[in-house]
Amino acid sequence: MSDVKMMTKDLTPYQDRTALIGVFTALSIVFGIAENFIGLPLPGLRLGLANIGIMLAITMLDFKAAFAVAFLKAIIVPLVTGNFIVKVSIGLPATLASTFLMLTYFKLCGRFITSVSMGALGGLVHITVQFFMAGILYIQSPAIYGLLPYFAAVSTACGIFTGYTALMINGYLKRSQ
Amino acid sequence: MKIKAADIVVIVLLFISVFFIKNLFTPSGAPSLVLVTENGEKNIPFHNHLYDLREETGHAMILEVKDGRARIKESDCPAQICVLTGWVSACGDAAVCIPNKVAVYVRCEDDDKGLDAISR
Repeated sequence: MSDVKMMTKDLTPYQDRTALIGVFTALSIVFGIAENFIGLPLPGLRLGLANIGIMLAITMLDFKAAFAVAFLKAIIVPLVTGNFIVKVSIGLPATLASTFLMLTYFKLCGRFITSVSMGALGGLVHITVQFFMAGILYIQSPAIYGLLPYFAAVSTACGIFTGYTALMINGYLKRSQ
Repeated sequence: MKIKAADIVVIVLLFISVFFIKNLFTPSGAPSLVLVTENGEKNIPFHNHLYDLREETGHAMILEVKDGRARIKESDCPAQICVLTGWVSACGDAAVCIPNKVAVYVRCEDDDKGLDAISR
């Protein structure tokens, strides 16, 4: 927070924080829409680029800001990409759960870790909760959990990638001040 | 900004947990083998046998049951995920072919109740 304050001296900290929430939310939404066009070997799986905005909010702002970004992203991205009810019912709990766990993880051991492992954790939790919600609401057969290990492994790898991206963005932001 | 040692430890632990994460959702009990197709579910005995699924599914698929395990031996689907899954034997294990709408999985006794217990 303090290093962010230096960037914009003409704004109060409150306005500053609100503006950053808006920037991170916009980043998440744009990535969330753009990643629909990036294919991965497993169907339905996406890179999780939208998580970058949430991770930046976690590392640079506070927990309320992180949840604001996560909630807005989980509502607005399905609104734009279509199939709203299905995507929100599966994606919103997954996004909130992964945000909550990433936040707890960062608050507890933020001194020892970077956002690389935080992204990996977020990816794993996100895909697990998605499978859980899909299993409860739509498919209702334990057979889908047979696919979970493959999806979880790819999702964790994607989480490392997005976590490293968030780390680099964070480094550039700090250096640019 | 560099990756720290604890990061690598956590990432390795997360990748190991991928193999156990399925156990959170699958119950234990006496196993039975279930074949799910578009037309519904069918129980399959655990005798050693090769099943041709062409009639049930309309696709060139072969299901093999051997030594209390089952696998999809051949399939005409593009990604071959069901074939690469290999043998299924433990509770909740499944070989799923989404394009052909076929799944073979091991159902255990307390699967279809949905609830752990009911108090009256």
